[in-house]
Formats: sequence, structure tokens, C-alpha cells
Amino acid sequence: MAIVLVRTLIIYFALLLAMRLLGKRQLGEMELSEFVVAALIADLASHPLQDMGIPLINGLVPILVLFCCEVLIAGLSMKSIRLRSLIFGRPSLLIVKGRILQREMLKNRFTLDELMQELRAQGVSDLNSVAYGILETNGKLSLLLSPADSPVTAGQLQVKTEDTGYPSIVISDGRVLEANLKHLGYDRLWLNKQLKQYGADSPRQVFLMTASSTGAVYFAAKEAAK
Amino acid sequence: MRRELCAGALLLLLIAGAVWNLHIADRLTERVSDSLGRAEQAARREDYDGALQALEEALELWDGAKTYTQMFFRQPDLDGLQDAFSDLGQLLRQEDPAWPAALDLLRYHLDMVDRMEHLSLGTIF
Repeated sequence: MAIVLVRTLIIYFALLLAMRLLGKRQLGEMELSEFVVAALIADLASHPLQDMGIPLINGLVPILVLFCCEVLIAGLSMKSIRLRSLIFGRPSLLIVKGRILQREMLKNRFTLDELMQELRAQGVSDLNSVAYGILETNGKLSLLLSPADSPVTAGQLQVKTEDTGYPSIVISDGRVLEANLKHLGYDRLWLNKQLKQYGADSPRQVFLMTASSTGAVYFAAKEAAK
Repeated sequence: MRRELCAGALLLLLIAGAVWNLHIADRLTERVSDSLGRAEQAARREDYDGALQALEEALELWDGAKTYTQMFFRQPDLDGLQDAFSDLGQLLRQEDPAWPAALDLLRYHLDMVDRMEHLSLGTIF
């Protein structure tokens, strides 16, 4: 029992470290090689946990090797465009000015059902409104609408808009995040003033408070426990 | 770039570790094999006490590397080897003429454990 516990902890922290060092990408955003490595690592790690007869090192060494290969390939592909296209592939144009490029669809094994599903998911009901449909290397379809069907921007309307700044959390579930407060250029005095303005006596009464460098504040009081 | 260099260095370290492990496994099985050879020679002379003593030496060598073997070899392989040691010891104590077959089996297990670490098409695939 204790052995299983210790072995699981070791594998867990090794996995956690490997995945943390590999990056923060979500499953759907992974490139092919990243997905392969993530799936392999998870599978490899499970074997020494299921079978106590397999040395733990047989699970740890493959994780380390895959981690090293992934970091090296990712680093080298940053430097070499040729290597990047060889390993990760290239984006493919599936739609050009409303016309579906059937040969590209076939080449990428992308079915019409999948295409229609992606169009619906992105709120596009008319294929004619798509200027370019690009199948990205992570398997996602990017749609660029034709200028006539693109939403009008404030810039096009020549409407002046104000920068709301980047909101940072300053109070999270009653705890003041001093580093964020300092980074925004505010201090406790400013915070207390804001709290008073929103009717709170102390940060402990706040569930979430964000602030940006432009002074925009979001405030959510903590609900009373039932 | 520092991360890539660290990964490259770690990969090289793992390769060096694998080569070192191969060397350690070779040396251990070689020393155990030598002791088994002495046990065989003694048993052929019908010096069963001498054969048991040499077998004991081989077992001590193997048991002395227990931490290493348990870290790097699979438990079923180790169990098979341990059983083969025990069977040979019993036959030698009984001065049973069937001991050569038990010795061959022990050598086979030892060879299996060692061969698992060697790079060859057979072990890779």
C-alpha cells in the first residue's frame, strides 16, 4: 500500500513537472507532436502504477526522454521554418472566396460534415461570406469573412473608444494580491478608498476585485455562507 | 535556448546512464557467472560442498546488488532467477545428478536478465 502511494506520488509529480515545463496549451490547441507526446506520457506513466513488477524507472525514463525530445524539437522548429513545416505541417486553404477547394479537403481528410460543423460553430451560415477558410496545423479551422460580411469596427466608423486597460485581480476570495496591486501602481490607501466606495469594510468581504491601470474597477462582494 | 540546452544535456545524461547501466549489468552477471562456473567445476568433481560454497558466493553477489537489480530489472525476471538459485542449491545439497539441468536454467535466467538491457533488434522489437 505504502509503495503504491509513494510510486503514484513520484509519477504524479514527474508528470506535473513535465507537463508544466512543456507549456500551457490546452488539448484542442496542441500541435500533432505535442498531442502524441501528451498521450504517450500519460499512458507510459500508468504502467508502473498498475504493475508493481515493473520498475518505476521504466516509467520515469520514457517520460524524461519524451520531454527532452519535445523541448528540443519545439526549440529547433522555432529556428528552422523547414523543420517546423516538416513536423507540424502547414496550414491548408480549404475555402477561397466562398469556393471550397475539394482537392485540399481530400488531402486533409476533412469531410463536408466537419466543415459545416466548424462553420456553424463559428456562426457562419453562408459559405459565400467566407473569404478564406484555413485549416490550421492544430486542426482548427480559421475563417476570415469577406469585407462585406465582416462586422464593422469602431475604427471604420471613426468612433473614438477608450482603452479600458488590462484588468488584474487585486482581491481574490478575500486575499489581497499585493504584487498585482503594486504592478498597477496602486497602494493600500487606494484600495481602502475603493472598498469604502463599494461599501466593504475589509478585503475579507470581497469575492473578486479587479482593477486596470486606467482606473476601471470591477467589484463583487462575498456572498454570506448559507 | 537555455531550456533546449538543458533538455539536450539531460538526454545525453540519460544516454550515458543507459550505457553505464549496461556496463554494471554486464559486470554483475559476469561475476555471478564466474561463481557459477566454479560451482559447476566442483560439482563435476563431485565436491558438492565446494559447489554449494561457490553457489553461495554467486547468490551473495546477486543479493548484494539487490537495490540495483530491483530498481532496473522486472520483478518476474528477478523471481525466476531467485527460484533457479534455490532449486540448484537444493539439488546440490541432495547430490542429485539432475543438477546440470538446474544450472542451465539458472544460467538461462541470468542471461535473460542481462540480455534485456542489451541493444539488439530482438530486444528493441
